[in-house]
Parts: sequence; C-alpha cells; structure tokens
Amino acid sequence: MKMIKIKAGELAPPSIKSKTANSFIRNNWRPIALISPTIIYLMLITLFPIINTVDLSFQNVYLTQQFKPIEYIGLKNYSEFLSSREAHDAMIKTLIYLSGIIIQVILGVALAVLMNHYTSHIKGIGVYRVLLSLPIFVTPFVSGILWRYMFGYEFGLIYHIGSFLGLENILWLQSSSLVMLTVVIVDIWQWTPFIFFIVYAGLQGLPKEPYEAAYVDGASHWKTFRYLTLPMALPIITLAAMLRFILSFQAFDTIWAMTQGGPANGSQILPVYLFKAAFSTFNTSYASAIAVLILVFIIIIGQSIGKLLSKEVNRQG
Amino acid sequence: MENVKKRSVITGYILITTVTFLFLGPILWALISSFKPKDLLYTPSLIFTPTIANYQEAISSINFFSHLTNSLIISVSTVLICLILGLPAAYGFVRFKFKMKNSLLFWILSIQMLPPIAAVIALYDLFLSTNLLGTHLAVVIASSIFNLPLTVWMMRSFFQEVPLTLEESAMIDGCTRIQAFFKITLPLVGTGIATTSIFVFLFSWNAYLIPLVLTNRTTQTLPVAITGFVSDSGVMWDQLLPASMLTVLPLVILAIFIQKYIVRGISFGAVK
Repeated sequence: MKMIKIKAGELAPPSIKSKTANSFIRNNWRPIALISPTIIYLMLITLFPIINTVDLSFQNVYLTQQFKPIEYIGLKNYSEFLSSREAHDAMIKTLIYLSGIIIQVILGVALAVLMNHYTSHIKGIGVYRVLLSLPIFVTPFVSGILWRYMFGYEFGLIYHIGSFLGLENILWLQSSSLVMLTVVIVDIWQWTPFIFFIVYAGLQGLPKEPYEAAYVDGASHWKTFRYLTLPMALPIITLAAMLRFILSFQAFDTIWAMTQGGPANGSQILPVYLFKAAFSTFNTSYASAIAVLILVFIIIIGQSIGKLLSKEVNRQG
Repeated sequence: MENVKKRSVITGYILITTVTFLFLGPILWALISSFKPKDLLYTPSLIFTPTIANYQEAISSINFFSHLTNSLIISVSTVLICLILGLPAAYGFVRFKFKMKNSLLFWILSIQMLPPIAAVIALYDLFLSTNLLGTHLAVVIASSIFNLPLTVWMMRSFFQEVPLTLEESAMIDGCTRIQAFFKITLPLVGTGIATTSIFVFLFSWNAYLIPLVLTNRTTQTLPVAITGFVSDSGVMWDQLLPASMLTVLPLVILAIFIQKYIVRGISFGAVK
C-alpha cells in the first residue's frame, strides 16, 4: 500500500529531492487525477465571472446599449455608489436586515437548549425535527409568497388576527417605514431553524459528566446554562452565526417575492438594489461595482469563517 | 419528585409543540387555503368544502408540466455533474496527502460562499456571448458553481468515516486500489452519496435568481414560472397558492429522508 507522504516540516519538498522535475506529478498522479477536474472546472467557471465583473465595474456598459463604444471610466461607478443617496439607504436597510441575525441566534440557541433538555423525555422528537426543518428547505421565493399571503392587507391571516385584537391598521407590507420589520420577522422564521439545527447538534455532542456534577450541586437551570452550556457551546454558536452571516447576501429571493424591494424602496437591501441596477435600469457597470464591493466584503468575512471551520474540522478529525 | 418531573415534561411538550406550530404556520395556512373555494380565499374561515379546482386551473394556466420538466432536468443534471466531479475530488482529499491540500479545500469552500447576486451579471454576460443564454445547460453550469463545493465538502466528511484499514485489507486480499474503492468504499458511502445528491437537488430546485436571469420562457424552472401569477395589477392568489404548494411538495418529502444529515448539509460537513 503506497501512500504519498509529505510530512509537515520536512526539509525539502519531494519535488526537489527527486531526480527529475516531473517526479512531483509522477509521485502525486493519483490525487492530481482525482482532484484536478474539480479545480479546473471551478477555476474556469468562477475566474471568468469574477475578472469580468471587476473589469465591467471600471467601464460604462449598459445592457441595453450593446453597440455603444465601451470606455474605461476609472473609479467613477464606485464614487457614484458611495455618494448615491439610494445606495446609502440600501446600506442602512442591509444593516437593519443583518441585525435580525442577533435575534435568530438568540432564538435558535434558546430552542436548541429547550429541545436538548427534553430530548430524552419526549416521544416523536423526530417528527418535530422534520417539521422544524421545513423553513430551511422551502424554496426561498415561495417563503416570500407564503408570508405575503400571511401579511396581506385585508386578507392575510395576520391581518385577521390583528383586527380580532383591535390592531387592524398595521401596514406590514405597504408602509415603507414598517416593511423592514416585516422582512426581519420573515427572516427570523426562515433562519432560526438553521441556527437551531447546528447548535442542537453541538449540544448533543457535549459531555454529560459536568451536568451530572452541576445537578448534584443543585445548580439552577440558568446557572447551568450560563456557566456550563454557554461556554462549552460557544464555538459552535459562533460557527452557526458566522455561516448565517455569510449566507445573508443570498437574501434576494424572499424579499423579491414579498415586496420587490418596495414600497418606495423601503425594503431595498443591497442585493435587491444591485439586481435592479443590473436588470431594471440596465446599468451593468454600476451593478458590477456593487458586486465587487460585496465580493470584497465576503472575502474578508470568509477568511474568519475559514479559520473557524478548519478548527471545527480539525477538532472532529 | 416524580410528579414535578411529569409536569415539566408536559410543559416541554406544550412549549415545543407551540414553537413548531409557529414555524409551520405559514406553510400550513397556505396549504389549507390552496384548497379553499375562491370566495373564501380572503377570509380566515376554516369551514369550507375542499376543492382542487384551483390546482387544476394553476396547472393548466402556466403549462405546469413543462416547467416541472425544466426543474427536473436542471436539478438532476446539476446533481450528476456535482457527483462526477465532486466524488473523486472528495476521495482524493481524504485519502492522499499533498501540497496545498488545505488551501485548495478552503478555496473550494470560499466559492460556496459566493453570493449568486455578485456573480449573476458576469454569468449573464458569459452565456450571452457563448449563445447559451436561455438553455438548460447555462443554468446547470451556473448552479454547479454553488453546489460542487458543497458536494466535495460533504462527501469528504462521509469518506472520512470509512476506515482506511478496510481498503488496505481488501488490497492485501488481492484487490487493486480501484477495485477496493468500488467494492469496499463506495458501497459504504452510499448513504452519503444519496444525502449529498438530495441536498444538491434541493438547492438547485430552490434556486431563483440564477434561473430567473438565465432562462427564457421555454426553459423557466418552477419557482421562476410561478412569478407569472404576480403582476403589477395584483396577485392571483387562487392559482399562486396551489402552484407554490406543488413547487415545495417534493422538498418536504425529501427533507424527511435527510433528517439525520441536515446539520452536515447546512454546515458543509463541518458539524456532524
């Protein structure tokens, strides 16, 4: 059984030790043959879009004006974005949207602790799990539709419940100042289960002994959570929160289904703003500049997620 | 003591059932409403004779089956591409040691984190210039960008669970490395392959932005096609609700099969 061994800290890599330059490939032909198709494929289909997006962002391309001479206009799209009022507004809306993640994490952890506490006592826990996982799996666009129906003015279930309670004039989707709250509520519905499942799996993997000791010592539920569960589960909670955070720029479908960014741009977060710039006003280059800014942001956040994930992966072997 | 415990379990049941219902609410409400006669659609009434008339109308008015076929073609092809490329790669990452292994792995993961919205303009441009815009192939290629990394990472976590010694002993018994892989390892990761396929199928079935931009009227997937019920003048709820339910029905069924592996799927195999 031959294994290609490249030990960390070896003085010279095998490619230099070997007699011919090709021997690195000869020694490693198996992993190269297995992995290179994926690497080459991904490089081909991601490098082009990324380079093209960066390139477009320095030009003045309009989708509708294919035959206009293309000019490089430097950083003009970026400066336009940074000085645009609508863009500022979109950034503020994005921040409001992101703040919902805090609530999702708190609720997700609470639900995980609750479920973990009762796991062995409750029959049919599997059924609850299936049902709770549905918000994760329902087509995000359809989720938007479902909630648009729930919040519908004068016909939605929430409107009916509201008017039963005497609150009939809440314009969940029609008021540009209230609509972000609605979006955040829907997001909590969609993503709390995501946090819950990851944290719950983490809690199930925690050692049992400290809890028995705490029980013997008569520690309260809160103290057990605060001084045992929370410190032990913190890495997994952080991981779940970070994953949720990085996926937040995929938030387009649900909002598009509910409001299309409206009313009066009231729910226009950055991805929606980008989409409208690209496919409603057809300002391809301007939209590309926004895409580049989002990419830079994702790369920065992605670095720290990578570190967290590799810790988790190494810990589990 | 025993009494207190019993009471706490009942509290647990009530709490968990309530929370579950809150999360299920919107789906359940839309499901119930999709069977309502049109005149009751805008009322909270729960007393009605269920009808499938709305389903029939929805199916005939958007050419439902051709969009269903599009969704199936695109999702199944994405699964196949991801498995063909991703399975060997995942195996390679688990069983071999080589330079830059970890950086390559995390480079692959970073692609998963790419938001489709940041890539969609360039993809549109790419497929426009290669005359592929509006084809199934364009959507399949684009959606494999976001699913191949998931495949590699998930399959990696499944391959890791197969002890190397099993393969080694098969090779001592005279199998070649390739025979050992096909006879020993592959059957052991069967569940893993099925689970990964379901996740990829699910995510490409659910995609909206990419097919919205890359398809045309004849190649539209189901989620894109149901947008047709939403117009500036209003929403045709009577048909949109049944069409939405039909779009998510396969997912609900698939979600049951991957229960054990949900966490692995949403954390790229990092949390087991």
